[in-house]
Amino acid sequence: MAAEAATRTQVGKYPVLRKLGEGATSEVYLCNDPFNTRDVAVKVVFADAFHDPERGRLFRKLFVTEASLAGKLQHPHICQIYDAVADDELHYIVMEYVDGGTLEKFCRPEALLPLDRTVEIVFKCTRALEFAHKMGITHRDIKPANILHTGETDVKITDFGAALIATGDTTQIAAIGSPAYMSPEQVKEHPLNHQTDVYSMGVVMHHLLTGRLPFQAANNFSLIYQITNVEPEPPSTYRPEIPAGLDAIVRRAMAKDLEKRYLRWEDFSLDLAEVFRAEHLGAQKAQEFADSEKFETLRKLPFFEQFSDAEIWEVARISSWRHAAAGERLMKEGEPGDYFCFLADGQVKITKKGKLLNLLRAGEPFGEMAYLAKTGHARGADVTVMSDAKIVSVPTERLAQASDACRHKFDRAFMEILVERLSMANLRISGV
Amino acid sequence: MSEPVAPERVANYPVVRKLGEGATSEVFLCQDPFRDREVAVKRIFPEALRDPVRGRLFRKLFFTEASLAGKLQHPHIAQIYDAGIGEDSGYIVMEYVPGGTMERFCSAQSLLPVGQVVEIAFKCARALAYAQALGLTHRDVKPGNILYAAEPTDVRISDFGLALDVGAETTQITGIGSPAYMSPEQIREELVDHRTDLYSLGVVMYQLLSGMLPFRGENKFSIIYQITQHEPPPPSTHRREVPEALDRIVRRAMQKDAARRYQSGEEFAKELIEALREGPGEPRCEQLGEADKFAALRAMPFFARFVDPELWEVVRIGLWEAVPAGAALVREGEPGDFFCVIVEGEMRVTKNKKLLTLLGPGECFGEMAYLSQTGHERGASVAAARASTIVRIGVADLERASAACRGKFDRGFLGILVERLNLANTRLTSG
Repeated sequence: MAAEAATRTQVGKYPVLRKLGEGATSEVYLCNDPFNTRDVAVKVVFADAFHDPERGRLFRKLFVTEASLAGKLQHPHICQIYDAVADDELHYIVMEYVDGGTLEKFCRPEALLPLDRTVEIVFKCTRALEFAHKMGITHRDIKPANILHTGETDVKITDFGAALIATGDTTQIAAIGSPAYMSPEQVKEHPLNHQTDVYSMGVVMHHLLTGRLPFQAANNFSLIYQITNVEPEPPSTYRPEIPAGLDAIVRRAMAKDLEKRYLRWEDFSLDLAEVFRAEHLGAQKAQEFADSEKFETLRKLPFFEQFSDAEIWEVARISSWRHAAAGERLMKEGEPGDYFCFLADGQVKITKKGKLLNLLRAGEPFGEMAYLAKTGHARGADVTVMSDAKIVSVPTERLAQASDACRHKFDRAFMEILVERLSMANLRISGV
Repeated sequence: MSEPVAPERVANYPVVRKLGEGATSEVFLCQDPFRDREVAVKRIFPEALRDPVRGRLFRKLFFTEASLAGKLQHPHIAQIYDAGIGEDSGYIVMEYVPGGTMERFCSAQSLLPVGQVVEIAFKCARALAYAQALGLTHRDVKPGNILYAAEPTDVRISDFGLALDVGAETTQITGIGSPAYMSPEQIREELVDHRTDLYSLGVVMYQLLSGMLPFRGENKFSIIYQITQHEPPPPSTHRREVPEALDRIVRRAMQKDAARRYQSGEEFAKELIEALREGPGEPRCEQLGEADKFAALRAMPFFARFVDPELWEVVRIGLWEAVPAGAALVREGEPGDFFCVIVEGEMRVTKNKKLLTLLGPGECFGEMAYLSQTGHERGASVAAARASTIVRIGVADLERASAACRGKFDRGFLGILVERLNLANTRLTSG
C-alpha cells in the first residue's frame, strides 16, 4: 500500500466518517452533516487552476456558480447537491450520499443485468437528463461511473456540471479520463448541447447491454478516430437475445450526425418504453409493473398533466398496481375507503343499488371521496370491472406522506374535476 | 482605536462587513455564494471549547440546539440556515434582517406609537407560541434579540436556543449580561419553561411602551432584588397615553408567579388584540394593523387548517376593504381575477337579479375565478347587503404565495366544493 497523504478527518465543517473513493483530480468522503443530521458525500476537487494567481479567483467563483446551478436540480434520479465551497485551500461539493455502487460493475460481460433492468435504468436516466435539459443544464460527462445505483433499478446521476469544472481548460482527452463515452462533437471540441449527453447515454446503454464498449481500441488516438468515423456494431452482435428495437435505439442515440440523433429526450424515453412493452421484457413477472411502465402510463393520463416528472415518480412509488378481471368488484357501497384509484386501462362501472351511475374510461379516478372528505368516508357506490382493467391504487395514508408539492398537485387536479362535476350538476338542476 | 479588520471569510462565507459584536460574539454580514443570498453569520467564542472534556459535550449540545432552532420557520423568527464549530469558535448562519433591533425604540425620546408596540408584542407572542409548540424556549427575549426588517413592526425574534452560546458555566447573572429582562425563576436559577419568555416579553413591552425598564437600580443586585420582590409601576405612569388595558396586560405578563401569568403565547396575543380593538376609536379597516387582521382571520373556520406562518402570508397578500351597503363587488359575466372572504357583514348573491343566497362572515365568494384554471367569467353578482368588511385576494398574488399556503387554500376550497356537490346531488336525486 502506498504511503498515503495524511487521511482527512474533516472537510470544511464536515467531520469525515470514511473515504469513499478517489480519482485523478478528486477524493470523495462520506461525512456527517451535524446541523442537518444526515450523511453526505463530500467531493474534494484538486485542480491547479484554483491556485492560478491570475485566474484562480475567477475559477473558484465559477466552481461555486456551476455547483449552485446544478444544485437546482431536484429530481429523484439526480444526486442532489447541497452545498459548494471554494476558498483558498479547499474546493469541495457536498452531495446526497447514495449507499450503493456505480453502474461500472454491470459493464462486464460476466456481470450483465437482465435486459428489462437495463432498459429501466436507461429509461430513468433519459427522463432525468430531460429534466436537466429543461433547466438548461448539460451534463457533458455521462458514463457508468457517474451513475449511482441503489436497490434494483434505482439510479441517481451524479457530477452534474462538476466534472466540467474539475478538468477546466484542459480537455478531457488530454486529462487522464478515457474518451470512450465522448460524443464526436465533444472529441472535435465543437460547441455542445444536450445531444452530447444523448450520445454518451447511448454508449452507456451499449456497454450495459453487451458488457463491451462500442469501440475497442489500443490507444486513445484510434478510439477518437473510430468515434468520429466508424459505425459501431449493433449490441445484438454480442448478445443475440437483444431485440432489434434496442439495437435501433442505441444506433439512433449514437448517431454521429446530430440530425439523425435523438433531438428530444422524450423520444429516447418513449422508444425505450415502447420496446419494453412490445418485447414483453417484463413478461416473466406478469403481475408486476415496471417503473418505466408506471411512469409512462401516469405521464399520459390527463389527471397528471400538471405534475412534474419528479412528482410522477413519487406517484409511481406510492401507488400499487394490478390487473383486474371483468366482473371483479373493486369497491362496495358502505365499506370504509382508505384509498382511491385510477383506471389505467379497461372499463369499470359505478352502480348504486344496482342502478348504473356512470361508466368510467381509462384515466379517470374513482373512490376519491375517501381522500376528499375530511373525515372517515364510506364508499357511496359499487365499482365493478367491465372489461379487463389495469388499476392504480393510491392509499390516502401514503399520499399523506408524499411531498407537499405532490399532494398539492393532487388537490389541484381533483379541484378541477369537482368544478366540472359541479357545473354539470348545476346545469342539470337548472335544466330540470 | 485599534479595531482589528474584519476577516475575509467566516467559515465558508465571504464577509461583506461586520454588523456588530457582543461580549463573546461577533456578527458579520456575509455572502452565501452557493445560494446567492446575504446572510448574517454570528461567530461565538465559547470558553467551553478550550476545555477538552467540556468541549466535546458543548459541541454536541451546540448542534442539537442549533438544529432544533433551525426547524423554526416562521415569518417573525430569524431563520437559522446552518451552524458549524471549529477549534475555538462556532458560528451560526442566519437570515439577514437589515433594519436593526428594538433597542432603538427603548428610550423615551424614540418611542413608537402605542398601536405599533402592541402589534410588535402580538407578533412576538404568536411567534413564541409557535416555538413553544415545537418545544423550544428562547430564554433570552430582550430588545437586542428582536430585529426588524423594513419597518419597526416587521419583526424577527433572533437567537433562539442560542442563549446557550455563551456556553460558560457562569450564569448570565454573574456574567456580563444584564438581568433586566430575566424572569424571577430565571434569577433564582430554577427550572424554566416557555412562561419565562412571556415574562421577558412583558418587560420588553413595558420598555417599548414607556421608554423605561420596570426595575432600575444602581447595580445588578438591586435589580435582582426588585425582580423577585417588587411590583413595578404601570407603564402609564411614564407615558400617560398608555391605555389601562395595556397596563393590565403588562402586569399579567410580568407576574412573579408563573402560574398567574399568561400560560401561553396565544393567550397573551389574544388579550393584546382585544386591547387594540378597545383602543381609542380609530376607524377600522383603514388603520387595521397586521395583528388585527391576523386575529380576524385566525378566528375564521375557513383558515382553521392554516398554521401561523401560512396565515401571516394571507395577511400580507390580502387587501382589506370596508364596503358600504349596496356596493357591487362582483358582476355577472365579467371576467374575474380575485376572490373575497367576508370578515364582517353580509353579501347578496344574485343571478338575473334573482337572489340566490346570502353570505356571512367567514364565507367566500368569487372563488371560481381561482378554481377554474382557465379564464373565468363571473356566474353571479355579489353586492354588500349592508356595510361590510372583506378581504380581497388576487389570484395572481396567491400564485406567488408559498406552496404550503396555496395548498391550504386548495384544501379549503376542496372542502367547499365537496359540500356543494353533495348538496347539488341531493337536490338532483330528490327532485
